[in-house]
Amino acid sequence: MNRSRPTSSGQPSAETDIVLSVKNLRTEFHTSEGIFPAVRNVDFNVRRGMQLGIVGESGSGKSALALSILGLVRPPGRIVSGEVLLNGRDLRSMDEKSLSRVRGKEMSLIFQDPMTALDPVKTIGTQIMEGILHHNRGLARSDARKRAAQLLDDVEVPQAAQRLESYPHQFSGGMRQRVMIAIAIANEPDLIVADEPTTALDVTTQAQVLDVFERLVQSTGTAVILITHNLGIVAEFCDEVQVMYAGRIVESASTKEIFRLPGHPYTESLLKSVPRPEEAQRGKLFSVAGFPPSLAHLPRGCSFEPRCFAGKGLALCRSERPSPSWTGPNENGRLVECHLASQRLEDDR
Amino acid sequence: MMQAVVSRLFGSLVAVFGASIIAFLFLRVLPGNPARLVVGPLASEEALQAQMERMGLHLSLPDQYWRYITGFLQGDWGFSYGAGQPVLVQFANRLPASIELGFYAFLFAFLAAVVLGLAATYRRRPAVDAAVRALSVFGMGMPPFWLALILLVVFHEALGIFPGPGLQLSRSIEPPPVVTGFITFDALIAGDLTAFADAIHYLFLPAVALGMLPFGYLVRLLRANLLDVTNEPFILVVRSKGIGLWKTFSRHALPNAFIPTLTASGMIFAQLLGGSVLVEKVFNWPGIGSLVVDSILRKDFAVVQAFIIVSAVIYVFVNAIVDVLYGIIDPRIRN
Repeated sequence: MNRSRPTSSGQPSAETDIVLSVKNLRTEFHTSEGIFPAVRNVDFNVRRGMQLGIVGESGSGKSALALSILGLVRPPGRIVSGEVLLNGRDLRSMDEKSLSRVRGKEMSLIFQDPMTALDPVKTIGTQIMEGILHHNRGLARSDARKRAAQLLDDVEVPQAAQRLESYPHQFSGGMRQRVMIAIAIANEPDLIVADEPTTALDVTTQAQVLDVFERLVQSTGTAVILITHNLGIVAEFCDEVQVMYAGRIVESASTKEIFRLPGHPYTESLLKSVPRPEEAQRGKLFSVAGFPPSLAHLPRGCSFEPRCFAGKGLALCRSERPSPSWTGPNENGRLVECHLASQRLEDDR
Repeated sequence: MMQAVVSRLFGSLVAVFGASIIAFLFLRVLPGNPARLVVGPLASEEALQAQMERMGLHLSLPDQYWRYITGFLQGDWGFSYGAGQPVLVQFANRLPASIELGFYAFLFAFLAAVVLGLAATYRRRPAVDAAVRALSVFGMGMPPFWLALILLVVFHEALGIFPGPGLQLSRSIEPPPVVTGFITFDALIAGDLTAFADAIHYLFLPAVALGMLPFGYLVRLLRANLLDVTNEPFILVVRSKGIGLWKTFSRHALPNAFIPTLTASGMIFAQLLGGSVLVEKVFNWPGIGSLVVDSILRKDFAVVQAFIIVSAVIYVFVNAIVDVLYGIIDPRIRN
């Protein structure tokens, strides 16, 4: 886990060091049952080469956030406000044509389910070459083909050159996810948004695919936003973690810090619900009580309050939404959105 | 692969053979003696017997069938007493007009379904989608002969844009030399674009009248499939590579959406090739549909039998094409 790359610790980062800057981003889904704000005015930065984890349970807005960054939210969803600055340029003010030059070139996507993320009627080679040819006008097909074979080799698909002719159904889940990675890194983007990249795979394959992915992004210095609900993967892969709950980032800190000392009660609950074989011999598994709130009917106060063990129904928590606050000294500075954050972090110190 | 083709061919032969037996038996068990119809109600018993012998009706059913099917394969499709012509001659006169009309009706239905299916789903504009769905319901609910009449009244009588019923080609235009029997194809082969345009002009209204119902069905299918496919994650992945919306649709969404509509398209195509009675009647189109109905009413066995076998061959042939197309566009079926 020793990396010679910039991490959260210390030195103030220059503006140029920031690949992605998300400011006040809000994405809503307008349906007949009401308006669902899946992403609620989120702010964060991703530095060059950083591996950022975004965790949260199903329905917390992780995937909507991923698609918002790429500008691929589909109706009835739409981004209603905010900025997404990639390398300093606001993607929201770009037209489709400019976006099509940025997507796949400066940033790319790795999708959840490898079974459905590839076109079933096109060869693997065609699908890898598509992005290469799109962003390298004038490149000969034969050269694009060589590049595709090289990429497939990079993601450790055996007999890469021959496999270009294969179709997705001839590949296993792990192999397909490698193809997805090959597609995502094809043009050496500055940022890859990986939405649950290994969720559909078995544990062994998960580890292999993640290793390949990590090796490749580190060799090219690509920043990664890894969206997952798997805290094990976060611990292994990410420099920093953001915890998402009901469309908000409720805690943001370095991986080391967050595992040492979760600031938000929700983070703490999440960590506690990871089964520990050495501790729980026959006991019950811990789970976060209750359900996430409906985004159409959020509580008036803190959205986690109904499930929170820390506040215990404090009037403040019930009536007022907490705002994010920096806590702790600069070197392990973190952002927590909880009325009790400073108190909780004090207590533990 | 070879084995699949052979077994497919064998299956096709069995299907045609089965159709020929059913066609044969059906018409034998119907009441009424076709020989009596030929000789007339006043003819003597001897004359009737003689006619039955001439028609082979005195033989046992298997013998009759054997005589019929061997003759059929050698080009002797029987004699139509109603028309006083060999059946083969009648078919040669009538079938091309029906096949040509069916082909263009299908072309209209299919192209319109693709264009409007795309329009309904591309960019997801609710108003366009609603309009396309309304048109689909209209197409499926409108009886073709009624639509044919309306089209004639509006576009021929009132506006005068399209020619009326009765012809396939203007009298002032010399018909192209017959190669395929299909006027538009023959015109293209002869390089006669004037004749081609004129023939299309005559084909347009009947093709629309005949194609509207299959269009309604196909556009509904295609729209639903396109909506399904565009919700698939791989479409997002294609977009995330930077590929524009149009290329994403044409390269990825359409081929995938086609797959489930292929079978339906094949059945519709085969059905259209077999002619349509009412639309042919309204446009006075010299097709096979009206001939067959007249022959049924006249108990003109030979024509109906031949039609059933020809239809079976058309269905089997079109389905074989569909199977080949499946293999081409869906790699999951290839192996």
